[in-house]
Amino acid sequence: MVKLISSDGEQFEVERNVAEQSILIKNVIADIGDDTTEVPVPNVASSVLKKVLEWCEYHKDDPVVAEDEINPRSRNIEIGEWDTKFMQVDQEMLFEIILAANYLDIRNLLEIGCKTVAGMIKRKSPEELRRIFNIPNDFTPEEEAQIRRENEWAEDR
Amino acid sequence: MSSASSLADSYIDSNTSLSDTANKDSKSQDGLSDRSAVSVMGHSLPADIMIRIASYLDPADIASLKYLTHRWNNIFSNDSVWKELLYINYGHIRIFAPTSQLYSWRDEFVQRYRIAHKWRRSKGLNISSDAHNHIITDSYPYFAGRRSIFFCRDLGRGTIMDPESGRVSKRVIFMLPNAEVSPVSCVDASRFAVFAGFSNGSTSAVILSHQATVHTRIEMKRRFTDGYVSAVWLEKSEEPKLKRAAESYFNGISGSSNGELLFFSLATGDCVHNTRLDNNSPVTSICADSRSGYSLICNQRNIVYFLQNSDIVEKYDFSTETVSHESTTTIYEDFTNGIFIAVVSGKLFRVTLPMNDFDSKVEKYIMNTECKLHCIQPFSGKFNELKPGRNGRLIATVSPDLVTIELYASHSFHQHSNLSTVRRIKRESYTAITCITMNSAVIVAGLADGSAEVYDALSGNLLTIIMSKDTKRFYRLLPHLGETVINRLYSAHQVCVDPDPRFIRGYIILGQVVRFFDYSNSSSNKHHKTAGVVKPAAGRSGRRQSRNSGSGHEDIREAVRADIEQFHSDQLTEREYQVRANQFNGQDTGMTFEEQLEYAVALSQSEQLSVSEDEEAQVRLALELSVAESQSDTDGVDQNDDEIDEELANILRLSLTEQ
Repeated sequence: MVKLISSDGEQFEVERNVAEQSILIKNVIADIGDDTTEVPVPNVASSVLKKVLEWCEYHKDDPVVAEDEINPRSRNIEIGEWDTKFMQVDQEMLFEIILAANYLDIRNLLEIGCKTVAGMIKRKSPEELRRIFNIPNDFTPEEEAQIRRENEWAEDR
Repeated sequence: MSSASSLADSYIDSNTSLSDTANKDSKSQDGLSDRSAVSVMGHSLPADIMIRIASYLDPADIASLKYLTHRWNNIFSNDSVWKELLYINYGHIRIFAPTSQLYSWRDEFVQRYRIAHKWRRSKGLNISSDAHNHIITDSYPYFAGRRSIFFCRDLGRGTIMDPESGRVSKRVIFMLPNAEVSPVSCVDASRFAVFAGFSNGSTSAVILSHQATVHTRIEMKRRFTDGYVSAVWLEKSEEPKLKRAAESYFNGISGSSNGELLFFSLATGDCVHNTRLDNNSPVTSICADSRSGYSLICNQRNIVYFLQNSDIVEKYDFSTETVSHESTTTIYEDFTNGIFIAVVSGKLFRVTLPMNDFDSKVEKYIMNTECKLHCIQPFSGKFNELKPGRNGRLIATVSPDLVTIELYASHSFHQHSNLSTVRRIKRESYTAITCITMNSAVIVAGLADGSAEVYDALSGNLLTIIMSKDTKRFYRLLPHLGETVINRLYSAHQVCVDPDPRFIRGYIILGQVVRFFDYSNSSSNKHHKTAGVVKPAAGRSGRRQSRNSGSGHEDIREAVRADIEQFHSDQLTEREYQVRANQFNGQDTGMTFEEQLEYAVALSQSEQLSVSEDEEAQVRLALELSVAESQSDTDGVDQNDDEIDEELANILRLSLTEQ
C-alpha cells in the first residue's frame, strides 16, 4: 500500500499498482526504494486527487502500452462508457484532472481528458467557444481582421 | 508547475524540506483552484496540453481557437507547433514525402488532413469503362497529362483513355504494326510511345502525339533470328525525339528468349548496339537510363547484369535465393543514387552499383515475413529543403497469405540497409489482396472481390473502400454464377493511384474493365464560407445537377489561374520555378513550369470527343447509380437498395446485350 498526501494534507491509501499508473509516482518509488509508503503530491488538491485515484483504481488492470518513437500515440483511444461518465464533471474539475494527469504523468487519463475537451471544441464557432469556456475577447477588431486573413487557408476545405 | 525531477529531488533531500515545498506548492495550487475555468482554458493551460487537445481537432477547429485569445493565436501561429501536431498524429516525420510545395509544417499538416478528409468523405466520380472486351494485360498511367494507356497483348492493341467530368472523354484505339502477323509477347510504354516485342523476334513502336493520337508507327530495323522477344524497355522520361541524337544514343531495348539484347534508336529504328549475355536464359526484365547508357537486365535464372552500353560491368546472381524455378526477380532501379532494389521470392535486396565512387555491394533487407506483393515509394529524406531528395524508400508489402499489409521505411541508401517497420496495417476484412500500390499519402490495395481499400500511408487508418457495395450487390444479383466465376470477373488485378497525392484519383482494372475513381473535384469545397458548421445534405436533384454540370473544366481552369497568380505573386526566380516544376512531376520533363501550366490549360480546352449512345447510356446509369449510392451511403441501412439493384440489373442487361 502507498499513502498519497494531497496539497491540502489529506491522505489517500491505495494499492501500489493503482498509484503506479502515475509514471511520476512510480519513478519516485523506484528512486527511493521499496519501503516507501508516503508520497506527497504537492500539486494536486484532495478533491482532484480523489477523482484521479478513482480513475486509476478502475483502470489498474489495463495493459500498459509503451509510447514509442514509431507510433507516439495510438489514435484509436476509445473513451469507454465508464470514462464518459467519469468525465461528466464541471469544466473546472475537468481542467484540474487534465493538469493533474499531466503532472502525475498518467498518459491515458491525459489523452481521455484532452479528447473530451476537443469534443467540446469541435465544430463550434469562436463566439460559441467564448461562451462555453467563458473567455473574454481580448482582440481589437483590427487584430481580429488580421487573424481572419491569416486563417483563410483553413476555411477552404 | 513543478517538474517530475524537482519533486523527486525535493523528496530525496529530506522530509523537512519536503513539507516546505509542499506548502509552497499548495499555495500556488490554491491559487489555481480559485481561478475559474475561464482562466484555465484561456490563459494558464500549458501549451503542450493545448497542443495535445488540438491534435484531436481538424485544421478548421484549430483556426477557430486562434480567435479566442492572444495566447492561443500566438501558439498556433508558430510553425513548430504544426510539426508537433504532425508528430503526434503520424509519428515518423523523417519519412515524410512532402505533399505540399510550400514547405511549412502547417501547410503539410493541412494538406495531409485534406487528402485524408477527401478520401474519407467525398463521393468521387466513379466511371466504369469496358476497354477492350479482352483482358487488359498492361497499363501505363500518366495522370498529369490526363491520359492512361491500357494495353491488351492478346489483341495487340491498346486504348488511350482520359476520364473526365464523369465519363471517358477521350478514347483512342491504336493498333501495333505487325500485330496481325505475330502475337505480342511483351510491351512497355511511356506517355508518348508504346514499344512492343513480338513472338517472331521483331520489335515495333507506336509514337503518340501530345493530343494522344497516333503520330507514327515504326518498325525496328533489326530482329532476333532465333527465339522470341521476351522483354522490352522504353525510355520513360521524355518524348522519343524524332531527330537523331548522338550516334550511340538508344531509347529502346529488346531482349530475346536466348539472352540476346538489341539497343534501338526509336527515331529511326536503327539498332545502335547489340550484345549477348553469357548464358542463354530468356531476359525477363530490363531497365535502363539512356543518358548514362547504364542498364540492368534480369534473366529467368535470376541473374542481374549491370551494363554500360553493350559492356557487362557487373553480374549479380540471385539464383540461390529462389525457391522455385518460376520465381522471377523484380527490379526497382535508381541510377541517380547508384542503387537498385531486387525482390526475389519475397526477399528484398539492396544493391549498390559500382558507379559514383561506390563499390559494388549486395545487402539483404531484414523483414518480419517474406512478402508476396510489394510496392516501393521514394520519399524525401529531408523536409524543409528545396532539394527533392530521393534517398529513402517506403516499402509496402503484403504477407504470403495476402491478408496483412506491412509498411517499412529505409531511410538512407548508402549508410545502412536496415528497414524499420513503420507499421502493420490493421485490416477489418480478410478478403485477399490481389494488387497494391501507393503514393506518399495513401496505400491502395485491390481486393479479390473487385473493391479497393485505401489506407493513410502514415497513420495506417482505413480511409475509404472503393466499390465494395457494388461488389456485394453483384454477388447477390448473380447467385447462379459460381464464386470462382465472379472472382475471375471481378477481382482487381491492377490498381493505380496518381503519384501526386494532391490529386485524389486512380483506376482499378478488373479483367477487361477499367474503373476510374476521382475524389479530387468534390463538390463540398464550394461552400467554404461556413467553416465549422455541418451543412445539411443536398437533395437528390441538387446533387445530380452539381455532378452533371461537370465542374471539371471550370475547376481546372480556375485552379490553373490561381496557381499562375500565386506563383507570380510569390516572385520566385526562374530557377525555383524549375525546381518546383520538377518536384511537381517527380521527374525531369524538360518543360518549364509555365510551359506545363500552358499545356494543362490547352489540354483542358481541347474539345471532348463525342461518345457513342451506348457509352452515354452506360455513363448515365453509372452516374445515377453513384448518385443513388451517395444518398444511401449513410453508414446505416440502405433504404433504396431495391432501386439500386434494379439499376444494376439494367447495367448488367446492357452489358450482356452488348456481348
